[in-house]
Amino acid sequence: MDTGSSKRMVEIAGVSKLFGTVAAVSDATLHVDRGDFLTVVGPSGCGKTTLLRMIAGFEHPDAGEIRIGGRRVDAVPPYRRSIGMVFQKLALFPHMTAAENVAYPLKMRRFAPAKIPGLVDEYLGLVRLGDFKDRRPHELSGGQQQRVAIARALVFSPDLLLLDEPLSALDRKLREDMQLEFRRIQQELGVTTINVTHDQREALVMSDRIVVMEGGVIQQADDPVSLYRQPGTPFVARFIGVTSMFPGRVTKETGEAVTVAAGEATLTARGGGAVLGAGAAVECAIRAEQIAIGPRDGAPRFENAVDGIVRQRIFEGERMVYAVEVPGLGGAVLNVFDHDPVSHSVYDETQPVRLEWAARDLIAFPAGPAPAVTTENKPTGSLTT
Amino acid sequence: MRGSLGKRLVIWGLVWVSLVTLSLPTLIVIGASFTAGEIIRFPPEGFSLRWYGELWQLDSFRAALARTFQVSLICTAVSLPVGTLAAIATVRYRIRFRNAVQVYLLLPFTIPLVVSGLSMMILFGEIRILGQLWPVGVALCIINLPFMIWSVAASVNAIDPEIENAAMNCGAPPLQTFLTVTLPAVMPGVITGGLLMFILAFNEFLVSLFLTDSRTVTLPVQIYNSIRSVITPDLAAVSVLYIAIALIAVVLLDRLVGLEIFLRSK
Repeated sequence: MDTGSSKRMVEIAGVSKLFGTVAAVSDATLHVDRGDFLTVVGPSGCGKTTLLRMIAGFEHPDAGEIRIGGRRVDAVPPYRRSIGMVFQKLALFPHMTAAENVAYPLKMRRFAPAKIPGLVDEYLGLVRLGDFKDRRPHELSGGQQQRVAIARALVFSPDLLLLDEPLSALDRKLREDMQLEFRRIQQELGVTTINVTHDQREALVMSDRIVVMEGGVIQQADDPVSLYRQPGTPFVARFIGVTSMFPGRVTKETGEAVTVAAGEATLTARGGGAVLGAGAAVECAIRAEQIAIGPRDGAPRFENAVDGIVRQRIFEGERMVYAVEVPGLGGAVLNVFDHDPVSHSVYDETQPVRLEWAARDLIAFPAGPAPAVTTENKPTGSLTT
Repeated sequence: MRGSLGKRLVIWGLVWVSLVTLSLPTLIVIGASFTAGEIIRFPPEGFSLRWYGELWQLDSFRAALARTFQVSLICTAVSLPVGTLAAIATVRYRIRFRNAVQVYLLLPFTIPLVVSGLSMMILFGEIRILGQLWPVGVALCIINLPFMIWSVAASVNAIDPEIENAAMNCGAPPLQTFLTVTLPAVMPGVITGGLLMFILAFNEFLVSLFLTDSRTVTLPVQIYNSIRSVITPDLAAVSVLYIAIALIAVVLLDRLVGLEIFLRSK
């Protein structure tokens, strides 16, 4: 199984899956390196779970191939794949104790019976559940059940660990604790991991690499910082982080920078990948934390400036969140974060303000039919779009 | 406050009326069975175990009781695999003709017992098995099978469909998955259904009346025959026996399933 020489643990090439006539996943190609933590993120129905279930072997691809550890697994049933999985609803065996749940994969995979108790103790210790080994799942808290599920998925040293949104049911505090816990265990064991989530924050916090999916199509794959800095499509820009979008038209193109006419404003932007000639319709994206908010009579700080009116102000402690309507941009509402609400002025609703940002922070994407973002998957903290 | 007092009075009143009307006949029969006199009456004359003794002396009664146990065991033994597999298959798997199969399996419940009894008597007569005991067990299994299926189906519906995938992910091939995960998870329903089938068969009268003769008469039919001659307090003693068996079943259910049911609460 272990080819040793290859650093690729998982290779997915041109994989498609149809449900009826709907393509749940189309032509997905990606790879995961040995020991990496990869997160597939996207709104519900984007195909990420189907992709994961094909890797686990519960679904069969209609096209393409999946290799794990260099071996093609299309015809390998799930119980012959060396994959540990933590399920969305955990799927612990209700009639077994924590220790029996963890021992189950060892028994099924024919480990020497003498070795089993030691391994069970070791992995229950790893997830800090040593004292709870004789409890049944219903006698454990949500977080403890998570830990049993993790131990069960890892105890047989699988080639690959799959996480199917196991944290989505937990409350926020516990979820954040468990994110760090997953990461700690994953790094301690060095197990290659594929995580699926709709939570962009979770993806950013936990991953070595992130794959963004939408409508069954992989939009972009990159490390978290690059993905955040250089979103490759308008969807990625909207889905990761809090980003405001507005339409415009290119009037001049000078190398990296483009001049964009948007409403009554003339702005300088950087092209988002594609070559943009003069006259091209574009969608402009600006992140909330890149916008500086100030009085209209202040000295200019950045290349781009528009005037607006505060429509909403939300104080979140470490930052102030504004929704600012900009009549000069066709009435677009821009989300603005002010990360220093202690020393900066505070602007109230209906107050006129000036928004400014650097040319390099405004990204111009070629305009196309924009895929709709469903409301439940709007980035957290977003006020309006 | 007064409104709430009135409400409490009404509710407790209803509770007590229900409790009394439900349990009074049972209590009267229990009392009557301990009479020392010659006829069934309440309150009993004196106290004795005389009628229990007489009952035990009756060969016809002992033989009928033994046959009833046998019939009930056959019925339960047949219904356990059949009902369990049918429930899992029709609830869980997207098998072909699923609805049709479901309706077909529940059909016996909609047919009057007289019709079932008569048609089975004719059928068993034609294939020359009438007069034996085991066909009675099978017949009782057929007419009561919907209860078994319902009971198991409730358990199947309660389990997370992903646990079978989880078992396979742990390395268990399909048969192992079924034996070590699916079956234990539906066990509460299987136990409940099994006990229910046993009790139902133990009590069944109408179909048994069609299918038994003097050599294979079962206890409910035997009781019916004796009512037609003379009503003596030994009938009260038989009734108490029935109550005792029902109680044992309830206790068993509580011991085996009562705890199990809590297992599936998250």
